[in-house]
Amino acid sequence: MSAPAKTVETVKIKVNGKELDAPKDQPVLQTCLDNGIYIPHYCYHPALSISGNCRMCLCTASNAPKAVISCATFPAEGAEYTTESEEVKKLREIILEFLLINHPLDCPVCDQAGECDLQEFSFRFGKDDSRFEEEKNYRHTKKLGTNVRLYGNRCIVCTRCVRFCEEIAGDAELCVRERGDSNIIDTFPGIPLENPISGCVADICPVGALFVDDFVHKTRVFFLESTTSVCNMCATGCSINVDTWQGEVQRLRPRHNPDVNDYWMCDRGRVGYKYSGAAERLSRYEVGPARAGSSAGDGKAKAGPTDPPRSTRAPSDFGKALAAVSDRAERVRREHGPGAFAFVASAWMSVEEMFLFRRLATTLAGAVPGEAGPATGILAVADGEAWTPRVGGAFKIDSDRNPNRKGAEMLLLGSFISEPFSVLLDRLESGAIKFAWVVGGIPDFSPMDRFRDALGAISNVVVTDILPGPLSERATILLPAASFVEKDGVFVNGRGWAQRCRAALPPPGETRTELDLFQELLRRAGERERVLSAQGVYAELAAEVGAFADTSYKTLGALGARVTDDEPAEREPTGREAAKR
Amino acid sequence: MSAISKPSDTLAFEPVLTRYIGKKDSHTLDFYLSHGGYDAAKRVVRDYKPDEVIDAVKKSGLRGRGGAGFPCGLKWSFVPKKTDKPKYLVCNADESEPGTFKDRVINEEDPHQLLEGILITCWAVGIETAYIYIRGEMWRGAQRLKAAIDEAYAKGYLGKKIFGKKFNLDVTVHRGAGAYICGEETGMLSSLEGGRGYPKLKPPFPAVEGLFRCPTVVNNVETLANLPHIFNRGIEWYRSIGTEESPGPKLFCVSGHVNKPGVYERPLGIPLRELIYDVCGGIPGDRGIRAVIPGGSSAPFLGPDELDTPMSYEGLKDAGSMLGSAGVIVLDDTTDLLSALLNVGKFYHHESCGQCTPCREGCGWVEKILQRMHDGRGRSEDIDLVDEICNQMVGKTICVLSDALAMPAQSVLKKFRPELEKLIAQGRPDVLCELAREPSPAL
Repeated sequence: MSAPAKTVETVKIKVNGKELDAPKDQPVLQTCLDNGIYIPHYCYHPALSISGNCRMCLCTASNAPKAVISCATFPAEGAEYTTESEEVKKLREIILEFLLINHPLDCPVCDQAGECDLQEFSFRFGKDDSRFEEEKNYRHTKKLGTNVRLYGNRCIVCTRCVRFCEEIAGDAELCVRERGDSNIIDTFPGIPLENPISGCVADICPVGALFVDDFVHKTRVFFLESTTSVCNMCATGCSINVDTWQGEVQRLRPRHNPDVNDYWMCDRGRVGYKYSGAAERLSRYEVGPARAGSSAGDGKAKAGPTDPPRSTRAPSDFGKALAAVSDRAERVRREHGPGAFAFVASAWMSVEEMFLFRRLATTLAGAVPGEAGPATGILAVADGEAWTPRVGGAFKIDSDRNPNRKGAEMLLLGSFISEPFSVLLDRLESGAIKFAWVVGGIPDFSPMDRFRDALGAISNVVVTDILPGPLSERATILLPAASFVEKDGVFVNGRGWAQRCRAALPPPGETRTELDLFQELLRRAGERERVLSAQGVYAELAAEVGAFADTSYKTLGALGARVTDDEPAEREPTGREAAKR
Repeated sequence: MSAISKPSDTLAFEPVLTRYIGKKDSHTLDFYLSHGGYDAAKRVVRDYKPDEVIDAVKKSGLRGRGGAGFPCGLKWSFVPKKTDKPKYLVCNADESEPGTFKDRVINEEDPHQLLEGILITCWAVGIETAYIYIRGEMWRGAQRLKAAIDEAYAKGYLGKKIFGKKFNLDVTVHRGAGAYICGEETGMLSSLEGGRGYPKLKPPFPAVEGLFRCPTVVNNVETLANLPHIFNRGIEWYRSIGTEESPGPKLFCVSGHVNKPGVYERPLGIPLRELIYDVCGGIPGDRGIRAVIPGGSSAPFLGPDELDTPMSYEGLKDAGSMLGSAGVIVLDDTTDLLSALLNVGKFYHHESCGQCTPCREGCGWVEKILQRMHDGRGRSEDIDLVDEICNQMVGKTICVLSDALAMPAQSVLKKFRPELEKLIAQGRPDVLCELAREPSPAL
């Protein structure tokens, strides 16, 4: 699936009597993990340099007199390593007892409880009692930066966060201060932890010392339901887990995907779910009368930018709203022909939605898009700032803020859209367009004035959107839409990597997903027999669009697959390779 | 093992390293040159091939004076001959082991002796950059070293084309910021690189990948100061001093309850009793000895019945202790051992870098228990608990700082257990320690 594997030089080792082929450059710990032999560890992280300080992964080796840490032990031909023995069991008990003596044991109020390695290892490998009866040390609790909070007392000083800031983010904002058991993670004076991926330190923290501020005291992690998905905040499309509880998204967490984001995601993406739970989310179908005034085709739009048209829409429901769309489209087609239609897609739609919308445009207008047919365009947000970690790795923050621009190029260019946006604007302003359908779905979207004003003067404006804004204000028919945490679909990231987005929650109120909406309209128009799931639509799409041929939800799996070779992604070295040890 | 020098021999011992110390202007280049200074370096650079130097040092049997006693020539030979990277010499002058003050004497009073040793080492290993990492508190030593380096540059003993050969050498003095752990060789390298003084994982050893990830030789001040004498007076002469396994003279730093504390140069292998009674004039008030720490605070304590131990690497190893940096601390029979041990515990707790779990947590734990015992709130099971914690600290960390607390602590628990049990039963500090607080006649 990924780049062709390099031939790895291996040596033969034995672990607990079992023979293994161990890659020469890989620590014994990783080889064991890869082969299903679990060795508890804190400071070792596959993306970071080896520090060897937690001593949790101590094991015995036939070629060493003392116990060795398996994270910093590289396999020697013929050596035997033992990870399950009375001696190793004792070693683990010792380390865990040491780790807990200055730990506050405040699991009942700690947000990590339930996914805490200290808890888990103590339960699995530790003793049930401590001989420590002295006073515990106290260390500071503070905010390290806008997004990250430190609970110093719980820290086991594994320095994963310090190494992350140094080796991955490259800004090296964190350091260890003080000595011995007063050791504490801190920032340098006047330089807070503000790199764009600072939240990742909370992900890699094995205990409850570091948290993303957004998640502190929100819920217990063992209540969370996790759904694998893809982040929607830029064209990188980080693999994520969407954690939900009681119908709300509680947090997003990066999911390891070596071809897309490694172990990381940016702070912007991490709170990129916020709008989906906003109180003002559009959740009601609304239908208003066709706009008069401009139907005479008197040329320029009338409504000004400061003067959004007063809403005359009345509450409706899915069925009635769809009937209204069909009827109006039918009337416009009869009276004005296919040239009176405009369809505006968005680079925030999934490829399935684009595929259906493309078909819907032809169906409703009665002709393929083009000069004589309906006018078309794609909405996208302007580029933001790109950011690449200073020290290699697959992860980057794309300057393209649209999650599926690549998918739009692959599905819509040529077949749906062949003219620049200015042509669409000209046609919208000409007064010839009597029916425009705009798909938004972009949070905080502010369309250009010309587009917005032109919409305000068109008789029938269908808007599919998630939040109230300049688009919904100008709609004569408003169709609420699902956000990315509420829908299934495939997004293609900037490097041509297709990944599945999966619904973690139902859409708000009576909202149906665009997938249902588009299919239902097509069904009513006699274009399809049944409303299919996203998987079914994707199968249709894969059969029709060359780039997606031979792929399916099954082959995409949890990590996705490359669907275009436009920009072959060269795997830059990850932190460890770059920083060596 | 060759015959250990007779007491009369050692008393008549002619100092080698400290011969000119105490003379007026002993730290200046003029003075150093007046008694044949830099002759050895000159001859070595002109007449010896690097490999011949390494061989000679191997044959001399010179062992590292920093603590571990690793053979010096062998250490040099681990440095790869062919490498694209620069090689470094780091001279460890971060003398911070409690009870140790020998390098300070050389740095302050005879710095050119050290520089000459550095010249010989760098010629042997092919090094063009040397650092002297000196303990931050030793301001005078740093000043003297800097002045000596300036003098040597002016004379052409440092810099480019030294002694007319294709041999360049730059020496820089770097002052530490006062952490014990920066005296550990890899901790020192981290510190010199500009980082926190965390000891590094070994392997790779510094000889292969050390400072700035380049091959690096790390040697103690005293080790390097021995080199000019080996080449001036010959291997045979050198081996005639000390024992077979520990040849050469050694600076012993004697402190504590002795009449004449100080730095004494004597051949390795001198019996501890002789060092205390003949060299240092015995114990004030002719009191008895309760314990002796023979090699700096990290060495296991010796009891009064072990005074005949020869002060050599192998002699002390056989006695279950170590020569370490030869910082001999004598504790007379008024000493509260718990107090002494607590002091050691406090030191290592304070100086643990906190990198590895067993050391970070263990040192603090041990100190807290000792403090409680000292405060009269000890329990009978505490002795076993401390012993058990120490067991858990030994050999499980990156460097040996946790061993440096665990080993002396365990030696005290083992050798003086009845006394400690008595103290715990009393439930209050040893009455004898009140006595100890009276000013000692030696001070």
